[in-house]
Amino acid sequence: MTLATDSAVHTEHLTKIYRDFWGRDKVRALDDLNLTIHRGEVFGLLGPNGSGKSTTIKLLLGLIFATRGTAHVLGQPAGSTTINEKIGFLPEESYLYRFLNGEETLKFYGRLFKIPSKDLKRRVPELLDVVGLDQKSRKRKLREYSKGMARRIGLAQALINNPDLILLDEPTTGLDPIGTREMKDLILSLKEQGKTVLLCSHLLADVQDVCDRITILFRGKMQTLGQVRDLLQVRDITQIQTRGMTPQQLTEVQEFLRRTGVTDATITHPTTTLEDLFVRVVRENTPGADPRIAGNGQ
Amino acid sequence: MSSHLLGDFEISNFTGAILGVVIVVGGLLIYGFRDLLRFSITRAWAISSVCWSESIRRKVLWITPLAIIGVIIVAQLQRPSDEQDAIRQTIKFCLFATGLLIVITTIILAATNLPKEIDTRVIYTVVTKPTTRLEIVIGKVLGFARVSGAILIIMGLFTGLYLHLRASFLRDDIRQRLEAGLVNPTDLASYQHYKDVGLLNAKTIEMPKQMEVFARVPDPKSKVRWFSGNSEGEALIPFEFKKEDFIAPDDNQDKTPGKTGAVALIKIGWDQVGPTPEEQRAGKLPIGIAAPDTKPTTRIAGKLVRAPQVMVRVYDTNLNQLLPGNAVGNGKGVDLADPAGITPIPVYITPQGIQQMLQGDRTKIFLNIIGPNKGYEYSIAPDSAVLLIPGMSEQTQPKVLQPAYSNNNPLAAMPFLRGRYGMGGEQLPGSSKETGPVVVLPFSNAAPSGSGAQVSFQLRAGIENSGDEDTEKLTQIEAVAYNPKSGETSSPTKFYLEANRQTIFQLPRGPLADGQFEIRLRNLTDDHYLILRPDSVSMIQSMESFDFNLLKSLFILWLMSILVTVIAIFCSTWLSWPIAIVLTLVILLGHWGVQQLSDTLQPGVGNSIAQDLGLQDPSKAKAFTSSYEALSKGLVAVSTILPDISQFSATEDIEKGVAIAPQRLFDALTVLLGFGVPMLALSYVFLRNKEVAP
Repeated sequence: MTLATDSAVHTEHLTKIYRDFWGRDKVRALDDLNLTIHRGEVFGLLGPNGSGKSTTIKLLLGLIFATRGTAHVLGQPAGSTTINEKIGFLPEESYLYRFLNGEETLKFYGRLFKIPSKDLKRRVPELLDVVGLDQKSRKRKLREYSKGMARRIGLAQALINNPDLILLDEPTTGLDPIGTREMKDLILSLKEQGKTVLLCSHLLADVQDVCDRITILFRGKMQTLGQVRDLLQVRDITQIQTRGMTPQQLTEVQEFLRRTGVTDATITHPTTTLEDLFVRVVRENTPGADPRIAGNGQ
Repeated sequence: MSSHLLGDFEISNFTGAILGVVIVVGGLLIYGFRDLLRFSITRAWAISSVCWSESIRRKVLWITPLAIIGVIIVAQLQRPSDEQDAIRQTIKFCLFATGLLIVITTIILAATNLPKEIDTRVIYTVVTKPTTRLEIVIGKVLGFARVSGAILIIMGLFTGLYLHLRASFLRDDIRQRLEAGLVNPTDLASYQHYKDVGLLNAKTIEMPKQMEVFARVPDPKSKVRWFSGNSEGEALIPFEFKKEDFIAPDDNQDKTPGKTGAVALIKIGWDQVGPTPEEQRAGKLPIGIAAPDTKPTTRIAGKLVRAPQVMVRVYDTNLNQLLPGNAVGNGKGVDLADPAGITPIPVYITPQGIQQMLQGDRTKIFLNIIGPNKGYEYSIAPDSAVLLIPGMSEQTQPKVLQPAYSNNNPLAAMPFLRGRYGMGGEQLPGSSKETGPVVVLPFSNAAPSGSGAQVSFQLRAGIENSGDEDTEKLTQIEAVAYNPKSGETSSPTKFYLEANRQTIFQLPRGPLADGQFEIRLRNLTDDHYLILRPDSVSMIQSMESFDFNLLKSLFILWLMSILVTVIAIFCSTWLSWPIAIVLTLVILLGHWGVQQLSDTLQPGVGNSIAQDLGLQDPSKAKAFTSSYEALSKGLVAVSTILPDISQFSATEDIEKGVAIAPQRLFDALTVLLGFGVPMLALSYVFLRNKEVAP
């Protein structure tokens, strides 16, 4: 079995050049991208604005056509309608029909997957629960939704078909820290279910929290690729973390280090992230809140 | 003009049909084969539901109350000629408003939908689902067809209710006026008919197959037919030919057709039926003053008399004069030889005339014979004309070209006679004498239904008078039914007619029973001219429900709205919406527009315009003419592949109170499928190759 059929995403020399009316090259949006995303991993596509992240996703979804090179998704050529059965896509903004309400939106997308009405009746409320849209919101037209709510319904439509591969373009844009946390938790839960997630973002902290591997694109070219852990590891610094040390134990550790010739050791209490702090404060002041989203800082 | 004369010359849609098949086969069956196999009506219906919901939630249907209010206001402001006209006009307003509404609505909705979805990127979430572009296109067509269907249902319900209400009030009024004896003689028969059958009618009518105007009632035992003098009647004799037919029989050199011209050998008889203008003037001259010279030109029964003349012209198949006057008989009248029409008279057609006649692909002409002399009637028979192609040497026997009469079609087996032709139709002069000009309208396969003793006919005709007559004088018509097979002739029915107003008259069922009959009309009022066309007279065969007729009319409008939707969606797959709207209108109206220009696109018009513009330089004139002809040909070629929206004839019949024939529905469906399906295939191909991410 080749890489193209074995992997979730496989591109070879994938290039996209936007041309002007006269056919002259205008912008080289993506240049010779060779990328393989394995099944079951959460993969981050990073880069500044205009680096080619969204172009890559559009090419994988068949929204635009490659100038050169090939792209395969779940073993089939990118853009194939057959393979779309197994793909979920959350665009960078929620491009949905604004005159439909939340339930109607999900039912519409469900029908595009030919999900039987009986199953849809069950699946739609389930998904709306998962993305955190309450009963009242479900009946409101999307044009009345806040940005966060629109992201949630956008995510729900991406999951309506229980996809094997989920492409998330800037999934946390517009979400508050709790929403961001929920989104990240959801991504991790999808990974646990064996799904492949392709995450495209320029919010590096989000990517760092959930991705197994990342690549960084810049000016249409792939600059780096690898495991997040490996890429971020600082090899000449050692960090030891523990809980509940007494002052005496701390003094003994410092004494031990000095004796063994370590002179520039720093011993401090770790700080939590601002996101963790925000989530904890909100959760502590919300009666009956789900403690699962309280964050790591507790 | 009768259908049998022009039937062979309709523009062929063969090229358009081939193109359509190629697009459908190439686009759908080959290029889109996979998507065709994957096609799911569930997905297409889901997409259509979104289009529907969008339209409903954007309150598109709110436009219908506005249209209804508009129709009611306009209907109140109308000035009908009578109650039937009031209903006719109201039907017209209602259906016009309905048609306009759905066309405008569907164009705007369909042409803006796709560009807007691409612009707002909503399309991302649709095309990244297992939705094919074919399902998107068909879904959108279905969606907007549902919207136009909803508009049609609302407008149809209003139209039906409003018309029933109006017709009921007007019928009560008619009943009261009849009872009070307040109805004019010209209206009596029609009002009685309205009282009996109501004003909301859907008549099944039978139309005559053609119309001929004779100076005398044709004698079934004779092949001689008579047409009026004073240029009030004319004869048309068809000739079919190939170019080679006009090569001189002894031309063994370059074999150029028309080198020796041709001779029309005609045998026309005459009969003097009234005073000539000279005799009229002579009768009025004071005693002792000599009459102008009326030099005798022929001898009849040993006596010299002045013979009448005929003018001979060559017409094309559209019955327009093809050759200039001086090309045929030197543009002058030809003296006839004898009243019996035995002696042939030669009329020379110049070589230039023949060459002009042979230009293009022309294979048919009509020899037109007009009798210009007042006080005469002219006789003609099937053997009254031949074309001779002389040899280069006088000794050579000429070739003979016989008229192209049909042996199978009795309606085309003789010279075709018609009345003086004007914009509104043919003239039937009035005569209070026992005999006089008669219009003969043959019907075939037109057996009346029902069992009543009388069968109703309707007549709508124009009336002209000589100007110095009593304008208050009523025009009286006499109608007779004649069965050529049995020879049975009905007793005449006399009735009065008002100009351009439908009048009902009745004839006994006897001669009509087998459906093969002629209706003969005479105008009994001196100095009045009836202006008639073949569709001026029709037989009311049976009655249908008006509501069913309305339903058929709305269905035709719905088919048209689907075609509009398909075209608008096609345009919007590759153009921005404002340009898509404009192009949609151009495609819709293109065929009709070229039809309107038909006269100016005929071969030879470029030359006339060059002359009118005063282009003296032959090279400039030629360049102008050839450019004009090329443009004309291009326009005609393009028009043949554009949809003929005149086939969506939803209002014409119903407003006349005529039942819409199944053929009308079939014609509309044919245009929709013949043009809509290839357009759908093209839309799919365009959209599949379109990068929907801007």
